[in-house]
Amino acid sequence: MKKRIKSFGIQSILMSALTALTIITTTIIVALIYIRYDDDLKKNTIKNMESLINSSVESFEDYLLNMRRISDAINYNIIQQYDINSVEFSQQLDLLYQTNKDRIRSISVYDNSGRLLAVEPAMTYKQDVDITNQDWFIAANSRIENMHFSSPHIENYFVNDSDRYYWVMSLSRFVNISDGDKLQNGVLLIDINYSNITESFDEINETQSGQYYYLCKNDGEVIYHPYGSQILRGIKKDESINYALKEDGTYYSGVNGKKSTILVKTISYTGWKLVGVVSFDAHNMDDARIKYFILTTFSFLLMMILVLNRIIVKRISKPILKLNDSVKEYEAGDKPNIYIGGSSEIRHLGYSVQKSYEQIDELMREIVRQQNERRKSEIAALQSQINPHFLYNTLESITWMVEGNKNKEAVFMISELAKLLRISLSKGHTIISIQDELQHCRSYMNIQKFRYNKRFSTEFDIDPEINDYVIVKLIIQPILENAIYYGVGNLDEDDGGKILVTGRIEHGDIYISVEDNGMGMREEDVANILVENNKVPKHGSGVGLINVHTRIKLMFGEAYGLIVESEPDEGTKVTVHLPAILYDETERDKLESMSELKRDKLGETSKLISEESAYE
Amino acid sequence: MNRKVFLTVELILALLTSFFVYEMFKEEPAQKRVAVIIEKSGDEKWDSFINGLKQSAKDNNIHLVICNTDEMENADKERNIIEEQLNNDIDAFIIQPAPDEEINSTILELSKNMPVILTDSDLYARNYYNSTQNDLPVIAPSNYELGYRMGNEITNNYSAQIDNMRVGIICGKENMNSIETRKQGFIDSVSKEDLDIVWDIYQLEDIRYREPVDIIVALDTDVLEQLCESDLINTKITKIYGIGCSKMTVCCLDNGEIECLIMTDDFDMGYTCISEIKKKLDKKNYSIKEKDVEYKILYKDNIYSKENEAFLFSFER
Repeated sequence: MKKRIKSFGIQSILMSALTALTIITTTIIVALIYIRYDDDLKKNTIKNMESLINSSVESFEDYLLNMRRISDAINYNIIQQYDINSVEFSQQLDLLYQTNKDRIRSISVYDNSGRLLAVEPAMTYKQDVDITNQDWFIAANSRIENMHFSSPHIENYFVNDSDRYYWVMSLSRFVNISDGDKLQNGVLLIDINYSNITESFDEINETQSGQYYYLCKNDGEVIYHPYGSQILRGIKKDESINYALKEDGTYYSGVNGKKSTILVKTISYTGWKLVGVVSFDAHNMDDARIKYFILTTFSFLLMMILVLNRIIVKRISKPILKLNDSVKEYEAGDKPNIYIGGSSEIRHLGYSVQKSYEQIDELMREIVRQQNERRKSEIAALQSQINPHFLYNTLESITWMVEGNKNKEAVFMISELAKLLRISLSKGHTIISIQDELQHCRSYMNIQKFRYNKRFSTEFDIDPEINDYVIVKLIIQPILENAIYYGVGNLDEDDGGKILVTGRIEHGDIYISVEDNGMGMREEDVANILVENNKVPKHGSGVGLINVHTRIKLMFGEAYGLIVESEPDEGTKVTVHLPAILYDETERDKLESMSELKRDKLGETSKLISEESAYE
Repeated sequence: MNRKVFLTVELILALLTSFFVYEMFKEEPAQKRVAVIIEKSGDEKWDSFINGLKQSAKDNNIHLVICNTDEMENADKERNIIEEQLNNDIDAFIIQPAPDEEINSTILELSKNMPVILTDSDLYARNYYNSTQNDLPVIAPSNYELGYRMGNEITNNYSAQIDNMRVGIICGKENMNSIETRKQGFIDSVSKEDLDIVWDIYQLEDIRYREPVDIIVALDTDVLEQLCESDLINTKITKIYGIGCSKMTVCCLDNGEIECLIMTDDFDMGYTCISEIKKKLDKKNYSIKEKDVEYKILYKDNIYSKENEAFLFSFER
């Protein structure tokens, strides 16, 4: 079974296609823009991070270099130049300390056994502290050619009178000390204020949103971390520390459950690592605004393009729809002008359709005209079927009368025949008044009475009111003719044959009956008498009645025509049913030309006439 | 696409556009403001606590209002500060409650309208043994445990000569729930031993009128610092065991003036207060979780261990 597919209008199809295309295109464009923006943002962020890390590393390397230079200055210009016990030594050390005291917490020199030889500023040495166990002391003696930077720690080997302690980072190195006459090995210790380092890194971390930077040794031991206190207490964790053990570079990984980029850069000399971490999952207000800006652009663009699509679709489809509507109206029976507008193709289509319809109209008019002509000729033929036959019989009767010297009767016959012919002609009109039609009947019956030697009587019982109404010419005469031929014509004079013609107006319609008391008809003959069917055998009367019946219907519509009632051996009554239309010239002309008034109608002529009559 | 569908789609897009525009130009939500009222907020002993508060405020996008309470001498002043802050668009309070019944009712009343966390100490109770039953969350060390551990340290350190030991207790602030609880913890801890608690006083000055003891237990940072600074005792003869949290107490421990120091993790206390307040402000039906803050038991020889040294870094402002 073939599946029924719902058909859509051109506007729906165009709009749906353009909408789909718009959504897909806009989505792809916006997605590409966003991806590009996001990619650029990440690249820029990483680039900025790299730049920041490089400058921070340079800055920190400078800082450490300065510390190393101070260390060198102390070693080469003071320790190796002066005796450790000399006043110059103390003065020079003090001078150097004073110059750098904002960065340096203390400078001290120890001999190989950990005994304090000199310190700036002057502080009390804790007796119970074993210096030789300190990491910085061990490091200085283990690799004597290097300077060593320790992890930050509390400077715990001097007594703090101010009830506070200090966080320092120790720079230690092996030195040769002049102590009187002897030269001994020792360790130079410079305790650098750790707060200087934390402040500079805090500053970097404060200014960078969504990023953080920390410093650690190459074994992962943290020197500075902005979340150091939280990490220590387990409040936070930082998985990026694993990357500090790797080579310098940029790493992409999940850190603490977020997609992150980790930048690692080694600080020269110490081998420490400066690590920067940025999480792109972190949502900040600026990112959200950019996203909303892109979404706003997307929705607004979509909204505007849809409006534009609709305008374009309307522009394209409106002429087609108008053309379609005008064609539909034409098909529905109206007669609008076929729409001609829009683009040249649609205009051309409109012109073609209009031309086609004009040609169809022309053809239709021609068909209707031909049909009318045919109908008229048929009516004329029907009417002309009566006249020659009757005329022959009448003239033959007059001939007999003249031969029989019945001149008076002959004159009457000729007079009646003249009346009959006058009315028959009626100047070619097919519609006449009932009065004329009845006059025609009377003349006819007068003629026939002579022909049949008055073997039957005729009576007219006519309501005078109906005289002024219209009737199709010569429709009662055939009925009378049938009443004579098949009813009372063959009766003897003694049988009292009678034809009664009655006319009345009932319920706004006119009924003219011709009733005879002849032999009548069988029920089945009555049923078939008005049926135009060659298969049904008819008496000779059938043809005349069908003609009359057809003529009435042709003129006034299906509601009207003949009503035949008959009883065998009782008689027959044929009633003409007509609409009550007052006779005047206007009505007559109107009725006669009614087929022309509606000649545009297609279809069978009989149907056409029927509809026109019903309308009238 | 018929007219209705088209207009519906356009309407939806217009609404979406309006929403996106609104979101685009929407001002950042105002930071929630949390007032912190602690006794003498400028004191160095709060350094670690305030570091914790600040770090947590930064992590949780909270505007911190640390009230200047250096002039706060009594409960009335604390009440005045609370009332002042109510006119300062404050969304929540972190309060160290003064030992006063009226303050209790003020705080309880306040807690009906906004989140309140008690820190360091619970509300004052006339009879703290039957402590006040209130629903206010407290984020503080377990004061009872602090006292109990202090007792344990003494009994462990002097197990051999404990019978002859004479102990004096200096409580510091009178009626302070935290202090009273610490004292009770200490007493309970040493009750099984033949340790002789000779006296317990609140003010350091009262020590002049008390007989000498072998060990003085100081239950509060202020009184511990005062004790170290004073020349009322000879630390070579009388050992000081104290509960405190300041750089000074650490230095005193380092210098040998304090024998044993139990130091609470005030950084964690401050950090947790703000974190919990933030959760409560974000979610009205959130129930603030109380927390017993960790503590360290420090002696001179373990101050500078890696772990303790890192712990001490939280004092750095």
